[in-house]
Amino acid sequence: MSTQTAVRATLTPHVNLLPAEIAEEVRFRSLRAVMVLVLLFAAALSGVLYLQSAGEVSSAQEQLDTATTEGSGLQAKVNKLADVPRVYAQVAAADAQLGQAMGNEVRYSYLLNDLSLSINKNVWLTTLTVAQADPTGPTSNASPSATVTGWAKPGIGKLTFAGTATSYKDVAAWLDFLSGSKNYSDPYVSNATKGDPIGSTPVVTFQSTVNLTDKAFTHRYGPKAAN
Amino acid sequence: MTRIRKWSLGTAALFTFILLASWFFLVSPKKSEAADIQARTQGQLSTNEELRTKLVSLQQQSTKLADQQAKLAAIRQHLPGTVAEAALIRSLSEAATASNVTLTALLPSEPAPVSATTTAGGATATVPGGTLMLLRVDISAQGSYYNLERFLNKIEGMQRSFLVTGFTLGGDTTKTAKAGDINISIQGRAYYSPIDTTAPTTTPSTAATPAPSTATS
Repeated sequence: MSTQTAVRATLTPHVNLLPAEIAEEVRFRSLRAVMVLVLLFAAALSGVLYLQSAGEVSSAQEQLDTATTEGSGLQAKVNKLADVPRVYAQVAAADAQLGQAMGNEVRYSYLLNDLSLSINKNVWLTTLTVAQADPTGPTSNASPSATVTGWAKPGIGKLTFAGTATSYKDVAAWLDFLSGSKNYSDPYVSNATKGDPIGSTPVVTFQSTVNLTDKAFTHRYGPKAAN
Repeated sequence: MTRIRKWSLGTAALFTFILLASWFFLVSPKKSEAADIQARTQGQLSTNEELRTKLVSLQQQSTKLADQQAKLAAIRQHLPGTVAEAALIRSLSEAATASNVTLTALLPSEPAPVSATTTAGGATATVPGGTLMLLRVDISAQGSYYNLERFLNKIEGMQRSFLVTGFTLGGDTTKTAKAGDINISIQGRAYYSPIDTTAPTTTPSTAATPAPSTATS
């Protein structure tokens, strides 16, 4: 097409026979359709969002149900083993009570045996009194003399001896013997007196005391013993 | 304002209304519900984890349950649930016979609760498991030094724990005494624990206290 022809075409006059109202109505109808589509889109969007949320709820509920079922199963297993901690608690309580009851045990038969094996042959005992301090409160039946006070170091009890020796040196040896044991502390002779000889053997009677140390505890019972 | 303009504004308003209404009345409650359920799920998962840990621990403990029960039974031999005085007298009598000593007197006193919560060495400790009861018993016996030592040894080794808290050993001047026999007067105590086995950590009801008795041979 030449330039001349194109100019002619644009300049060609034409007549619009459609009234303005009709054109307006056409435009309105088109726009209304668009509006309806927009509203439908809004409704659809809302529906999609709702369905998505409902799906989230459903999924979460499913997870919760699974977790709850698992929890119930675990709880049932734990319940089946409910006796286990109870037994452990009973053992711990009983062990603690046994420790409380017998924690202050001293095996006096061993002390007597040591005495009989180690005592100087020139010393023999006529009486022996043992009184152990007891920390279990006012229900204690321990003798008040068992509480070691005064110049001596605190001990767990007190042994009081009355005996006979053939000389004062033997009395001193007796004190040395008591000093040598870890179970005793602060041996003390309160009285040593020359007595009537037995036949031709001279005799010295004496009274002595010694404190019992906590080394004498056996620690056989209670939680400490278990460790 | 033209009709198209009115409709446009109306549509825009309706569009906004639909979206907002659906958000606030449909979507948001669901989202909130989902968040709530997820929170509950997290809580349940956390509980499950704790239960799982507890279960593993219990399962490990349960493998040693028989040992624990045996230990409890052994402790119950030392600390019976009742005063069991008859069994105690029988045991002391058997110990005397086995040691070849003459049991001259048994003087049990009234059972009493152990009040203090102390352990060896005087350290204070709280002792769970109910009231520990003690039965003080004074024992008098006669025999040779070595037999009395054996007697003491047997008392200390009895199945039921017996704590010797003191004794006096001295010469025997009675007519019935054999040559070389001496007397021993032992102060001791036996214990028992009326523990409620269904609730070991709670304080059990106070045990009945039987009347004091004296047995003399």
